[in-house]
Parts: sequence; C-alpha cells; structure tokens
Amino acid sequence: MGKEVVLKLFVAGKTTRSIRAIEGVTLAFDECLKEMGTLEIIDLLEQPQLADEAQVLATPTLIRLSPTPVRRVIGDFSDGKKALDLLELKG
Amino acid sequence: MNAAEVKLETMDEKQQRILVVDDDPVIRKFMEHIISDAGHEVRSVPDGLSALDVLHFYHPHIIFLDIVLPDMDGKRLFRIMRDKEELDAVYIVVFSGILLEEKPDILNLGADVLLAKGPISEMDQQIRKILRNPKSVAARCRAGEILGTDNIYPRKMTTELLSSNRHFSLILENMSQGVLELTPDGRILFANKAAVSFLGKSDAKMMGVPFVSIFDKENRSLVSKLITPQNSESFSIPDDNPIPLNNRLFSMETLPYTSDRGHLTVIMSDVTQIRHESEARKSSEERLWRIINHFSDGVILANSEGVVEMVNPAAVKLFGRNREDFVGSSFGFPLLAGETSELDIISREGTLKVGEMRTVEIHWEGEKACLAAIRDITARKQMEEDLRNANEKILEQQEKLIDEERLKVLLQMSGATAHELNQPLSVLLGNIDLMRAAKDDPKESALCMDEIEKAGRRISDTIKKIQNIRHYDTKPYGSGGRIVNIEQKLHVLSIEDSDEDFNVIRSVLESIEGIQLTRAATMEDGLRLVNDISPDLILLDYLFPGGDGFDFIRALKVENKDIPLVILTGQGDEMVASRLIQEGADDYLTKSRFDRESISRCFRNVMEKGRLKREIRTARRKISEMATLDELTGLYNRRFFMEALERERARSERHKKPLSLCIMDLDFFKRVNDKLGHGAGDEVLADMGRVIQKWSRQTDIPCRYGGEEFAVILPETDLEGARIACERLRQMVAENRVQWRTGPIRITISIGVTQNKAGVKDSLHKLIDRADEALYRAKEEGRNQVKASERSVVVA
Repeated sequence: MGKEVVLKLFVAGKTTRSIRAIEGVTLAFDECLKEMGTLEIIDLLEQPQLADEAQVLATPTLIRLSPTPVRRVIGDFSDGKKALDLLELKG
Repeated sequence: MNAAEVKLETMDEKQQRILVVDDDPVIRKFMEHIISDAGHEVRSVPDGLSALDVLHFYHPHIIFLDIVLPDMDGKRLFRIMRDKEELDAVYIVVFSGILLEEKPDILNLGADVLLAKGPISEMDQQIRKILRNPKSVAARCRAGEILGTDNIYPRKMTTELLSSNRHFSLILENMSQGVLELTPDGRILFANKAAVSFLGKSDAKMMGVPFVSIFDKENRSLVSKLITPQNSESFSIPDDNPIPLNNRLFSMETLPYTSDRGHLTVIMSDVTQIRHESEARKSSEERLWRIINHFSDGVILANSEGVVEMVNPAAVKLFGRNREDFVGSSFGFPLLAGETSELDIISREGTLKVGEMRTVEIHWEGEKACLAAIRDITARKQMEEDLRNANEKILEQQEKLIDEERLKVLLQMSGATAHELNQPLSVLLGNIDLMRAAKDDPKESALCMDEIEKAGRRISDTIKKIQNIRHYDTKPYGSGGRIVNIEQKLHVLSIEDSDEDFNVIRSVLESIEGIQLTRAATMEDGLRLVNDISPDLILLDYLFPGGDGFDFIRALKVENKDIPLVILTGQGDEMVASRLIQEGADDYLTKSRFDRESISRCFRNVMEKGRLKREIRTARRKISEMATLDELTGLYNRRFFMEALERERARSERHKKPLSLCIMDLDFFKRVNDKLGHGAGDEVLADMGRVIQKWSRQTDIPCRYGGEEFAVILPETDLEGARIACERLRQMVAENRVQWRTGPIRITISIGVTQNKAGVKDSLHKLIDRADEALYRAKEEGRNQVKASERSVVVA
C-alpha cells in the first residue's frame, strides 16, 4: 500500500452544491479510502482565511495533499468516485 | 563517339595539361614525375576542394582522380567536374585502390579510364600507356577492362566496408533532413539530396562555397555563429525561430565532427510547414482569445496541471481577483456532472457568487488544456430560490388558503341567502299582520294566506339551496393528504418544434408513470390541440415557428383557457422565463435540467397551483352567482332586478296596486371616463349609488341596470307619483358634486318612467321597453330631465 492519503474538501456554506459535494465525496471516501487516510471538510464561510492559504478560487474544490504532487479538482462532486478517479485515487 | 574522343584525336602528340587529385603525397610525387617526364604540364592537389579551386582557373585535358578522397566523395567530385561546361570534354582517369571491390559503374558516370592502384611499377606502365595513346586505352576500358588489375585481387574486408558505406550513403541521401559537411573555415564539402534541394544549387555551384554565403545578408551572422566550431552543441537555430532560405524556413543544428580535420556537420530541417501551422494556430488562438476577452462569461484556461494560464476580464471580475494573482494559481481539474456544474465563488471582498461552469478540452501551445467558461448565475439562483420558496409557501398555505376561501364563500353565500330570505320573510310577516287585521274578511284572509304560503315556499327553497351549498359546493378538499398526485393520469401537451428536443422530452416523460404525451410542432397545432384534447398541462418551448411563447400565452388567454403552462427554455433564458411567468406561465424548466426529479416537482407544483386557481375561481363564481348586490354601487344587480320586477309585478296585479318602473342614464358619462379616466367614472357611479340609496324609499328596489344605467322599481306607486319622485332624484343628482382629486365632478341624469298596465299581459320586456322609450325622449329633448311613458294607463 502506498503513502497515506490526505484529502481536503473545501465548500462554502450550506448551499446545495456544498451538500452534494460533502455527501458525494464522503460516501466515496468511506467506501474506498477510509483505511488509507483522512478527509477533512472545510467550510470557507467559517474559516475564510483558509481560502487564501490553500489558494481556493471557488468551491467545491477537492485537494489531494498526499500522495504528492498536490492535485486538485473543482466542480460537481455528487459522484464522489469520479472526483477520486480524477485525483488518481482508488481504493 | 563522345566529345572526349573527338578532342583526343587532336591532343595525342601535343603537350597536355594534366591534373592529379590524390591525397597520398607519394602517389602525387610519383605521378608528377612520370607526367612531366613524358613532357606534359602537371598540377596535383590533395583533396576535392583544392581540385575545385584549381579548376576555376586551370583547365586540364586529362584528370587523374582518386575517388577515395579525404574531404568529399570522389564520385561526387567526378560528377561536378563533368557538369562544368569547360570540363565536359576532359579525359578523366579514375584510379583507386578499391576498384575491384567496388566494381563501379564508373563508365556510366562518364569516366574514360579505370585504373586500379597497384604496385608502383605496374602503375608506371599503365600511366605511360594512357599518356601515349589515350584513345585506345579508353576504348579498352569501355569494353570493361580495368587497367592495372593483373596482379591484384578483391579483398573481402574492403568489400564489406564498402557495402556498409553504401548502405550509409543510401540512408544519408534519403533523409528528409539536409545534412551538410563543412570545412573548419565553413565551406561546403558535402550535401545530401535534401540539402541540395534546400540550398537550391547544383552540386557544382555548392561544393567549396562558403555555407554562410548561401543565406541572405541579414541572416549570415546567425549562420556564421552556428558554424563557429566552438559553438557547436551550445548554439542552434531552433524550430520556433527558423531562418528563411529560398522561401522556406529552416531550423539548424550542428554536430561536432570528431575527426582530426575539424569538419562540421550541419543538419537542416525544413520547418516551413510546422511554422505555418503553428503560426496559424497561434493566430487562431490569439483571435479566439480576443473574442474571449469580450465574453461576459468568465473564461479560465487551465493547463494540464490545473494551473490557470489565462483569464479574461470577466473572470477577473467574477472572481474578484487581480489578473496577476489569478494567472499561475491553481484552479484544479474541472469535474462536471453532465453539461455544467455549479460553483460557489468567494471573491476577495468576501461576496458570495454562484457560477455555472462548462468546459471544453483544447490544445494550448501543444498541450492538452481546459477552457472553463463560468457564468455568473447568482441572480438566477436567487430567482430560483425565491421561486422555490414561493412554491413551498404556496404548498404550505394551500389548504389554509382553500379553507379560508371556503369559509369566505360560505359567509358570503350565507349573507346572500340571508338577503334572499329577508324579502319573503318580510312578506310572510306582513301578510300575517294583514291577516290579523282582516280576519273578518275571508276573501282578504285567503289572499294573505296565499301570500304567506308562497313566501314560505320561497324560504324553504332558499334553505334547500343553503343545504346544497354545504353538501356539494364547498366540500372540504383532500383532508390531510396530498392535494394533487402526480401519479394520477396527466395529459401533457408538448409544444416543441425541434425533433431533437422533443425526443429528449419524450424519453424523460415516458419514464414517469401516468404521463400521456401529445406533441404539437407549431403554435397553430398547439392551439388546436388545446381545444381538441384539453390537456392537463402544457409544456411550451418558448421559441417556435409561428410566434413565440408570449403570443401563445396571449392566445390561450383569448381562448379563456386556464391550463397549467410550463415554459421550456434554453440555457440563460431565465429573464425571458420570468417575463413569461409574469404573462401567465406557471413555471419554467431549463433544457439543461430536464430530468425526472425536476419535472415531477415542477409538474406537481403547477398542477397544485392550477387547482388552487380553479378552486378560487369556482368559489368566486359561486359568490357572484349568489350575490344580489352590485359591488361598485351597492345597489341590487341586474339579475336581482329582473327577478324582483317579475315578483313585484305579479304582486301588484294580485293586489291591484300600481307599480312604476323608472330607468335612468347618466348624461355624458363617457366624457368623464375619457377626460378623467375610469377611476373617476367608477367614483361617479359609486356616488350615484349613494344618492339613489338616499333618495329611495324602503319599499323601492333600486338597481344598477347596466354600465351607467340604473333602474328603480317603485311598488304601490302610480305614474304621476313616480314622475314626481324621479324629478326629485334628477334635482338631487344635478346638485350633487362628486368629489374627485382633480376637483368636484358635476353630472346630470335623464330618467324615463312608466307604469305597469294592469290587466295587460305585457311581457316584462315590454314594460322595460316603455321605460326605455321615455328615457330616450328625455335624452332627445336635452337630457337632465324626466319623461313619463305617454301610453301609461292608471287602472284603479
């Protein structure tokens, strides 16, 4: 098994987009990657300073911090598996 | 016989000019010796380039050419010599140490003699033979002889080397890249076929020529930099900045030539096509970007790493960031669900926006990249949110609203029925009084009894009506459960001109159970089908042949159809959709979100709205049916007037009491409307209602008969009494001032009076007509007056 997976999902507030993304990504993560790492969900309305830090232009954005190189996807994560695929993460 | 032979005839015994080309100094010395010994002039050079130099000014009769030369291919040099006009008749002896192995087709090249390099003594003989009698020796060689081979044999190793050399030449000659070999001082020694064609010169004109001189002046310094030996490997002329030559573009690089001679190999690549393509691509990219810069949608170009490469001004504005920070930041790989995806955008100032992203994969500067267009849909989202909230509110309040409406209807109906009961009740009570007073008069009593019975029956009828209302008209709606159920059969009419769109609609709708779908491809068909099949719901593409959505909604209104209408719009047509909703559409769906769930929700909502509308309308109709009063004037309405007139006339005939009717009309009422507007007109009418109320007696029945027409039934009043009363009303009206914001309005009234002719079985209409005639005369004779029907007869 490779390196530990570290994912951060950035959303903004409780919009339908946020809810869809949180549900989609959490579901896919729990199903495939739960044993392999962590998924952190960050609401930028609550922690706006993190947007600049992580250079998040818009949400939902999902960032793969590890394994490196850092990669990110942006858009509709209602199908969380697709997002993980784009990040080349598979269970 | 070739030209060389002709020339030979004349040179045999003379002193000849002879050139020897051989890299071996021993051979050169030896040759010089024999030749000058034989009395001829001789020059010798060690390599091909020197030979070419000498040939510029020295025109020999005979050339001895070693075809294995250090700098250039001897065969090539041979061809160049033959191509030179001044040398085309020269007698050429090719001599070489590998003639046996190579078995050259040198004769085909035009060599006169082939001489194998062998032992010096052997060569001495052969050369003297040639010098003595070149003609006969040439003839022998043409027959296939190679001179000087008597004591030598082919060597296997040499044969193999030559074969691989040929193989190498073949490759070199057929390369698409030009390969040139240059001397350390930059002169051309070798060029393969491709290089020859690039340089556009014959071998003869090229060999020994400084490479730099081939190029235009402005490029020479660059080329000279390229071929400066110490620059090789570190300097090249790259694909993206090529040098022009003969209308083509070339990139060039050099290979260090490792031989001790310090020769340089130049490789030229024709990049004309590539450059043109890349320039065309670049200019089309630039053009594209110029357009993109004018887009109102934000456009971001993200490279294969997800990093922002370019942004247009709209994106800068949408994201609230400056361009410098934006470019180079990480956007990410876009992931869409379907065609689009929505994003929350937090600008630097902290404002929240909603963007709708769509993406295109493109090639940008040779790499895969992603162009993301992001539209600001904050306003649309807000609108959708509002619409959804409104819908939810409607759903929540629906039952409450219907209950309230029902209660209102009930109350109004009970008010109306109370009113209905009022009259028969007073008749009933009045007649009981009359009966008591006339209990000694059996005839009068019977009459009263009759009246009491009739009034009783009317009361009973009215009560039955009330009971009916309770049981059927306002029965409670779907207590508790959902009011409208999408699962019930729903006949949907889709008005859609595009086959493609209709197929999408059909495939989605067919997946929802209980929907029956009919299609109309034009507005005419649509309107016809609305009448023919009475659909439960209309799904309208707002743009279609024969008009647009607005026309259709108006046409539906004209037809008085009240069918739930859902607009189907394209992307970004929300403004149109909202205007259509103001026009009377119930909801809209965008083509991009045409899915089962949205449709079900939307259809359910509009069906519920539609039902609610229908319920309320039915309730209102019932109210108006039950109502006896005119809303504006507070007088009885026309329907009540007709009923009352019939009743009162019957009563007056039974009781042999007179009955008068007056019909009145406001003078020049139209002018009030025209000059001051309908508001003023309404105020005048309402005020007239108050005047008439004030004027009329308890028993009179004042009604609003038409627009500005009034009618009053005057029971137990004869024509003269009625005329006097009406005169009083006319005066009251003339003196009255209607208060209006632009100032008091004066108005007059014309009145026609008639009396019911007892015993004459006139129809009600005849009675009304007579009053109308009188009114007409009052108008004719100058208005603001009362006229009585002349034919009226008072019957005692």
